[in-house]
Amino acid sequence: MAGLIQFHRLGLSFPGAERPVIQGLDLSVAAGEFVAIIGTSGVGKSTLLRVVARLLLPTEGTADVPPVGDGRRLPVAMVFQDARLLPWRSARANVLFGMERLSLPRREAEQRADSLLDRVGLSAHASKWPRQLSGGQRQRVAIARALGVEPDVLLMDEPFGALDAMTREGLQDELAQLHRRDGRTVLFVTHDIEEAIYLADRVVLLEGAPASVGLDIEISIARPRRREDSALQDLAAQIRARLRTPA
Amino acid sequence: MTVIPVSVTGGLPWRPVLGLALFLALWEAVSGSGIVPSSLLPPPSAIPGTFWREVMDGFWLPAVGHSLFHYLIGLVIGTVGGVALGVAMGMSRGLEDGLSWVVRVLRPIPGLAWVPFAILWFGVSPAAAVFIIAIGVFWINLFATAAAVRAVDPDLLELADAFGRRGTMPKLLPVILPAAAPGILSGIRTGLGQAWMAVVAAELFGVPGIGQRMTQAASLIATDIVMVCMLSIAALYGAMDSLFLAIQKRVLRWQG
Repeated sequence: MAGLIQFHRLGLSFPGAERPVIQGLDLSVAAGEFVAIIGTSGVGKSTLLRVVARLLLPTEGTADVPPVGDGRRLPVAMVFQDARLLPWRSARANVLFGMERLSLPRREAEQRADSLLDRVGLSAHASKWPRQLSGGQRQRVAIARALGVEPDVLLMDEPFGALDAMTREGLQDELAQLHRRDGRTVLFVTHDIEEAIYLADRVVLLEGAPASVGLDIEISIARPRRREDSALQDLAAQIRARLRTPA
Repeated sequence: MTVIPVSVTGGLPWRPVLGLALFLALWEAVSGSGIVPSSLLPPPSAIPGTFWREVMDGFWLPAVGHSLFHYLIGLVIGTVGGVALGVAMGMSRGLEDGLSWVVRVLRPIPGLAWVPFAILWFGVSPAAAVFIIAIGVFWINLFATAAAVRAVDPDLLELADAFGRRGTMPKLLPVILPAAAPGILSGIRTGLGQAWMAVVAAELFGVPGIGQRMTQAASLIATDIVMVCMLSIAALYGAMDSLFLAIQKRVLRWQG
């Protein structure tokens, strides 16, 4: 079955760089899958997400990614590590920002924004400025903004990396619930191996310079998962060992 | 522990008031002591009376009216032109490169140096004064705006790309201008002050206004009238600046 996202011998070089960031990368992601991408810093995880978002174009191979939207929705939406809320807009107006390029009636967009803020538990904070929100709340607004465009694919670039452990675990649980409910395809970049195994259907390890897929593991641990589950911990230890001694 | 009150909440801040009072007292003392003839430095106590005479004799209000007219028109033209070209230069590296030498040649020329051309092109008329004021304000806004636009966080531009605002123009209103607003508004505020300096300079060559009234008074050694004109400019600038600060605070309320 053809994947929703398919990379074949994908390569990407930046102008003037000595060597490509990515080379010969093959990967297929099916609709509804939650795929976590892990790897060392600078290996090319975020670059790969930007290819899916069409923010970067491959220089080699092919990248079949969802087409540009039809006006009522965007096929791909992105959540960044630093939330990237527009500081001059309220939380609600930030959620609306994603929808403004869609041909949605204003009223419908506002209802969608209110409903999403309710879903991420921020109805009471809708009129606050980003500076008045905590890191976790800002990241929730960023997730609501991404969901507002009703994407087929949600790209998440270390979205919880800058948060404290408690907030991070809370948001991981909320994301797991959202994914169970919506069945949306998620590509999730993280440094945290436990987080990857806890959330994902598959964990893909990028390694090498230039990067390619070093490991692609199906996570068969039943849901809902527990962080202290021994199977999860064992798998994390195996991946960590592999990271220390790459093939 | 000793607590030093900085100001009384809800009352006048005492330190600035004290500073002003000391300044006026020193001025009055120097002027009254005879060290400096009062014809060269009129005492502050003479200023209210002179001001009242200027108003009642029908000099003050028309002069201020003319100057305000020159000021506002020149300010608007210079600001709109400077901000518009500054945005375009900030967004387009090609345009910035293309204009860089032109800007380098024209920028150091002071507004007053344009007086001969202003007279040749517009005559001794309000248009000449407006031209000189607009030139001075234009450069300030051009550089402040171009710098503010260039400094827009690239992460926000990438965010806009990710949400379907590809290219520069779709980002202009929702991202670039609001992100650059603090820098643009700082430039406009600097221009507000610069424009008053240009008003006086522009009117010194005979265009009706406060500058012209100052020249007339100075030629008659009526320094008290000169002082009234100077303080009128200071008061008008203070009022403009306070009004602008209130607007700026409202526009940038998201900064907290």
